[in-house]
Amino acid sequence: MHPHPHMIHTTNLIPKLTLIFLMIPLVSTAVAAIQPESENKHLSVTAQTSSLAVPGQSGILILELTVDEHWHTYWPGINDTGYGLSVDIPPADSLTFGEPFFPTPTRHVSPGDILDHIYEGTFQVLVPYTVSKDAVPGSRIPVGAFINALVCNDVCIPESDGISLMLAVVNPSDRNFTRQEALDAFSAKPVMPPNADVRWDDDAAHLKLPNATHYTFFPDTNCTQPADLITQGDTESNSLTINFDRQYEDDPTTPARLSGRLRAKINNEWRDFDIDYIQPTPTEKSP
Amino acid sequence: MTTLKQLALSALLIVPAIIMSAATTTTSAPAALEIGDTAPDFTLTDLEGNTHTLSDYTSAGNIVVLEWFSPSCPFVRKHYRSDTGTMLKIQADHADDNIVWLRINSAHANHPSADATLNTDTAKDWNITTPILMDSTGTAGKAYGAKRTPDMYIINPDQTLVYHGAIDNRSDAAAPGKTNYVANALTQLLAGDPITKTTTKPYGCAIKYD
Repeated sequence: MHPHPHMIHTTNLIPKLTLIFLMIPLVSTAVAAIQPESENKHLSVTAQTSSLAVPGQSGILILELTVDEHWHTYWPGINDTGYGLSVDIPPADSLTFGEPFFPTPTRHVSPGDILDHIYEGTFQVLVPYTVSKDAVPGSRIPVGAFINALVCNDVCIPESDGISLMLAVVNPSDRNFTRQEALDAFSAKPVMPPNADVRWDDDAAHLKLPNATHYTFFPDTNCTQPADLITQGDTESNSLTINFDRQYEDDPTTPARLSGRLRAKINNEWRDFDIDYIQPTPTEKSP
Repeated sequence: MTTLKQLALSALLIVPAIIMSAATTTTSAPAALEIGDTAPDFTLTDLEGNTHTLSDYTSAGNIVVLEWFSPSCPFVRKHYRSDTGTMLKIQADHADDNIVWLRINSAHANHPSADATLNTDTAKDWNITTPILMDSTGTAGKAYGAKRTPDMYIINPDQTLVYHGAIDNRSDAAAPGKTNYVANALTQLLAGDPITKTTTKPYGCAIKYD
């Protein structure tokens, strides 16, 4: 394994997240209280977010998760063991929530050729939301978020935690910055690389990015099962090759899919992308 | 007298440890077993000190179910809860058939889930009456390429592998799935029918080999 930073790889998010954190005190917002924890819990969640909602504008619910030292939890994608953490947000009046954005995990290879993609320490899950134009200034919107996760060290324990907070609906004029900036920050999350060269064999995908010298791949649950992610999922090379293992599939003749988070070292700088490529059908391959 | 007592106490502590670590396998290299492959033979010792050799069971005409087991894994536990009882129910359904069900614990000897007392107590709590084999060197587990608990293998009397994968189709730790792959495979096998699903993706806790 290459020397990744210990926890979260959100290189291109850091300036934006910093901006979000800097903006929070500007609007004198409240931070959601930490939920009481039982003695046996190894995972907790707090909300680090503005408690104001502006009709017609967008915001981000920042869920900060902390896993006890020496414990870990799992990326909501493909792992050899464990199951990925999930975020459940009940519907809230006047709010529409988007898909949660999870940070890039780290690879964790255990004896017996067991590969998991894990989170340790403290990390953030971002959930975008839009406030209805009909929200009434002066009203309050209750919001909840619940985390389900498997946390492990020597043993594994299914755990859950949640937060609840109230968003106060205010007029845009009550605020000195636009919440759109926060949404822009969220929109800076990893995207498809614009200039990837992706080629397919019957049972493999080959991806090449200009000037990339190192790749780490974290498949999500849409990805066709990789055959040897321990060897191929972290490679110092100018291209990434992922062979697929189709034996578990009901119909292994369907097109393979290369989908998940990709970290690539380009010009000596690590960058994160979310990729989703589907193997062309024979018809599509033809000129 | 004190010395004799100390010796006796030492023997009581050491002998089970030796028994637990006395597992031998005829195949030790990590392998990716495929359906139709000959299942690696092994001899492992259970919690009561009895040895079990796979080929003894298969050569006697038995189908053997191997269940990689951990008393501290929630994915295993969900199949032994009083409201689920998945594993024991399958065993009970086939009590009159020539099926041998062996649980194997491949956690390394110092791991909490390899503790003999914990395994014995868990077996009692979970109403497990058939052997739990200790594979504290991990040689059997690695020979089969087992990565998780539970990880399920079904072996024919000719000692070929006929099923490998998950117990069922629900991969969280909350409740069993509606489709039980092992139960289906055993039913088809005993009926002389082809097994419709010979491989599925296993799920569960990581086996702590080292």
